[in-house]
Amino acid sequence: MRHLTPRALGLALALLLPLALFVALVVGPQLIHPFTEGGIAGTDRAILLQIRLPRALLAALVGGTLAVSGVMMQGLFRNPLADPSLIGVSAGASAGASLVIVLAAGFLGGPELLGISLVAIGAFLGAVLTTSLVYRLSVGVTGASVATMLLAGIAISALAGAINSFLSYVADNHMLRQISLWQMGSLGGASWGRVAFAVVVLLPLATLFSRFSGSLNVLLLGESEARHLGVDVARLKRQLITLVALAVGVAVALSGTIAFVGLVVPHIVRLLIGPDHRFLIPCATLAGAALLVLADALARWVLAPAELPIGVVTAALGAPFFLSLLRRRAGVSG
Amino acid sequence: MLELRDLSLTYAGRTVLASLSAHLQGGQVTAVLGPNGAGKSSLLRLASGEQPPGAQVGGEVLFRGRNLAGIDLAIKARGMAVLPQQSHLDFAFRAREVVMLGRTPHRTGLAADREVVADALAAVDAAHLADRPYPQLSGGEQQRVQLARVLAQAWHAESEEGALLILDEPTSALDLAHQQQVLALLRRRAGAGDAVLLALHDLNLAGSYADQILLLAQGRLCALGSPEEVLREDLLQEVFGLPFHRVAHPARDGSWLVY
Repeated sequence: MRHLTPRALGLALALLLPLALFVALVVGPQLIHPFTEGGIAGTDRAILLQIRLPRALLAALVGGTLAVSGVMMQGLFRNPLADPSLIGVSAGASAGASLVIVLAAGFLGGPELLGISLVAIGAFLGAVLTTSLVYRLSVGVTGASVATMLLAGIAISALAGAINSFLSYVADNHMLRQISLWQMGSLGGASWGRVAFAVVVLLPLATLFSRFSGSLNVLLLGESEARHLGVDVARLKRQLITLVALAVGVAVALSGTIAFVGLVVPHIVRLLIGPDHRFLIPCATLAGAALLVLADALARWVLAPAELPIGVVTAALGAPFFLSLLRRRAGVSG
Repeated sequence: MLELRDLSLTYAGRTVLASLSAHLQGGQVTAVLGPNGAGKSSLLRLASGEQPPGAQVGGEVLFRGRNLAGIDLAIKARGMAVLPQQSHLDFAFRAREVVMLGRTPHRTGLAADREVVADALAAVDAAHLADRPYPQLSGGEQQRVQLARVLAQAWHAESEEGALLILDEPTSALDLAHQQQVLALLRRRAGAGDAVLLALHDLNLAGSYADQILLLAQGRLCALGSPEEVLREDLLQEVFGLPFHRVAHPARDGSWLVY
């Protein structure tokens, strides 16, 4: 059932990520040969330093964040098919982004702070607001119920989806195109400002996540089992939901909604090395980072000079791989 | 070690437990008997400090002389280990990893923990399952692994007082030989100073291994005392609605219940 030791996978991923970054620097509408005589200069140098490098780094940060957030949600819901969108993050972010695109149409492309656009701020606020609403709805006398949270997440996501549809309906052609492009996700807006922002916000969050590995392992046994093993389950849920909402909110604000990474990367890593969060968290983070860097490189290269939306690439890459793993597993156990 | 004072539990006006008091000491095995719905699991839940959602609870539980509700979860987990009636685990931990989770509350170091895990697995005759994925085990094997997890949690408890083990039907999925083995093991844990509180259905198993029996019917305490005092034909007939006969065991000392 398990194919690799956590150490072997961790090592492989630690080698794969730099390799992926390297590929992302080389590949694009214009191939840049890394070992040119006399070094890389002129336009190539500018493309590398101002466009590709920040973009690849942002892809790594966003991909790692989405994957590790998926690990957290699957552990919290004790369900390997959970992902951050269950608690309304993605739907809320979409609604927030659409709202800004429609209402603030005149300002778009205007003021940016640290490379963060108004749309990004709208997406982040939308994500955090929806998640806190979902959480509040599911808190009863005995703390948050995971089952209620799931249902509240579905209902609130549907509501956010309705707002989103309404906004798409009233939007003009230009806005509509922006809305749908945003929803397919893109790292095209990458800049050093955004990278700096992501480093400052996402890296601390990622290290915080690893502190929950012991509690999450115990939680897989069941909520009351976890309490009897000394875990304050209500507090754990509160902390995890907050951190995931912040992390995914920021990731989505920076890159739009990129489906699939948060669901499938943790699942694949778990199939390979087992469910122990002490190894799952770092490995899934590295795998998510590498996957998104490669997916973005592919997105820039396949239709060059045009770009594929990155969500299309992640789904097209990961879904078949995921299905083959599932089928192989079904063959082994059944 | 554990004192139940005038415990009661009602769900929306329906009485599940009514004014129940009992005392558990280290070194003793206490078995809770009674028909389905008598309140056995509810009693064990309250005794382990769980608050059933939407229920009204009366009375108090004292653990080592202190009100259980006020004890920090992490501290409680070092002195009390609980096996629920059913645990559901879909994630493909190996059996040894499941048992290792029982060591979470302790800070005894990896080497010591590994030893405890191996000992606990061996004690429930599951050493050969150590590397198998938990979801692939049979029901009885899963129950033994969960029991090993609970034993590992109470193993070498850091206090001198011994630990409290609360087990809700720990033998429900086990074959006859493993039932005897598990009860003998719990007997030995009590001999080492632990207190054991468990719900059972097999009256003879309870009669052979328990020091104290708590007989419940419809949420009320019908009898509390030694097996000889509680396992009376008239009392059991009243509670279970079946005619019981107490006969001499053909092969060894003591009596046996047939019905």
